[in-house]
Amino acid sequence: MHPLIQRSDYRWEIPTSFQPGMLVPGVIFANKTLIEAIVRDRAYEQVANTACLPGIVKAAYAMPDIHFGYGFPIGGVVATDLRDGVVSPGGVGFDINCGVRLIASRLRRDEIATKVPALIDALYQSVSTGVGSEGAIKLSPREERDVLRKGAQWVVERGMGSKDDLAHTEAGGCLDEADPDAVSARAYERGRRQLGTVGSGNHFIELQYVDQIHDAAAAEAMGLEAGAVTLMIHSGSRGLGHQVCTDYLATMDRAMHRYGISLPDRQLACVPIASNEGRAYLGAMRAAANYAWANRQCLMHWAQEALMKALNASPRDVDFRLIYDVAHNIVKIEEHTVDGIRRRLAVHRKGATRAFPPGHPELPAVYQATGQPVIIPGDMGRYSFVLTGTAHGMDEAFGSSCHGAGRMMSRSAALKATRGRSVVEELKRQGVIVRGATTDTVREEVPEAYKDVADVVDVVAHAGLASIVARLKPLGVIKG
Amino acid sequence: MEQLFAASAQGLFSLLVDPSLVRPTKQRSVTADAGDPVGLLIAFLNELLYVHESEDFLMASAAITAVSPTRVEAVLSGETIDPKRHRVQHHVKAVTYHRAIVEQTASGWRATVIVDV
Repeated sequence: MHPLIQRSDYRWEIPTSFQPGMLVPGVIFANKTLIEAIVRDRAYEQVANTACLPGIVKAAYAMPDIHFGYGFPIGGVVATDLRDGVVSPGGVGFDINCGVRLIASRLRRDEIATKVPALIDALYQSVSTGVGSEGAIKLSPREERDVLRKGAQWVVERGMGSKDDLAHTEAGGCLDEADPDAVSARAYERGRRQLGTVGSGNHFIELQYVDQIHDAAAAEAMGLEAGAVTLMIHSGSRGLGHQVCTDYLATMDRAMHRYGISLPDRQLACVPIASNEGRAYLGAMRAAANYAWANRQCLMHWAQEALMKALNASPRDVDFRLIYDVAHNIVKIEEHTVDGIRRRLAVHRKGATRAFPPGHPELPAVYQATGQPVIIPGDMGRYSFVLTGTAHGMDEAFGSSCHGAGRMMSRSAALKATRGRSVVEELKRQGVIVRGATTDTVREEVPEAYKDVADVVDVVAHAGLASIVARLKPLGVIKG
Repeated sequence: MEQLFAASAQGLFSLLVDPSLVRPTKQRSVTADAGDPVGLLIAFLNELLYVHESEDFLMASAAITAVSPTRVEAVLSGETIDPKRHRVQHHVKAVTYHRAIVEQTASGWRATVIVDV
């Protein structure tokens, strides 16, 4: 038996009576099929654990793509009050500001149909991918510090992108109050050779086309037309972000008892936001987030250059435009109305995407009427989605949405399930060209290892957290 | 405890490359500190990951030269990655505290740690 109480077709609740120490209920957005998987891998227990974090406000939320993570579930949203709440590196995750950006183009699917293998080869050659790869930018200590301070702007200042790119990036691609001094020498060392690399695991660059439009007005605002080619980039802050998380987990693991905090899992380690350790983590986390935005800006620039060269096309021919860049592993200080009162909160989104509604002051003019674009990658065989934030989602779950399909199989289970199979050949038969650093990486990411992202997005839409704008289908992908 | 730390180091590096392909041609000293044995094992393994990533170091074996519940010192034998001979299978990004256990059993020390790949 599980403790979940169904409150509506798409909303399930874990009462505070489920576990001692829960300060607020847990809320999981899911349908009957998805909830079965959530019960099976016991991810709801992790939602209940996060409901024990001091200063948590309203509820511990979980998106329909939730799955079992380290301490915190992946797909969780936890907001804590700035005055008496805690900040937790585990609530952000190791890959700080892992995120996605989506780029529109003037290219049509039919005009590049026969060239996809060559375009994927060109992307693969121009962009460094996974294990042990080295980026094209080697940073001096001073340059790396500037990257941590300026984020994507540092890359744009080097002629790799435009001011429009920054306007179409969450937080303008740079969090103020980043503190490069709060980042350890080890994190600097790990970041020195990795700016402009995709990384391993589920990170990718994918060439796609718009296959369905669900909301014509929002699609028009984003420059998305049926049949048009898009480019999606999924990457994060690489070794630098991992080191920042590792460093501060150790710091908080030691410091926690001084603040009288005790939690069910050490990976949930946290300290008061207002403490020295809390402030230092936030400064370092912001610096790592800025590195990630700079990384995705580099990747976008090189991917665009590679495609133009392979097509022998000019910038005007292709007309690449960044639609939006979203973070899905981050903690942000935001203002939200809770029980009629405006409060400043530290909103932890781990495997969850910010989804701000129409009219929000943080959105650029072009998205004021539509709401924030929310980019949801699926697995590499099926499709991805573009959504927009809603006013209901702002009230319901601090303006948050899902972040992807969500794993159903662990990496080792996926390797076992695909033993003796060529996933690359299988996908080729479905019309998707895949290039990966190793066959294992591709097999670990086999589509059947993931939930169907259409089910996940359907729940998000029915729960009113975001609304569907368009569906994108893959043409080819490079994996780290 | 010495064997536990040496075996954990072997386990970690065996995820990265086939250990039989790594030659013990150079040595590297490492130390780690923490407040308790679980924290110490995690700090030690994170130290090894850092040495691997920042110096492209692959370990063949680890000799634990001193260990207490809060401090470990080790000398690693191994070599620098040679792309011609070594194919890195998995990029281990971090060692987590999630469900980490270090325990003394009737047959000796036993540990479980989960790594992020």
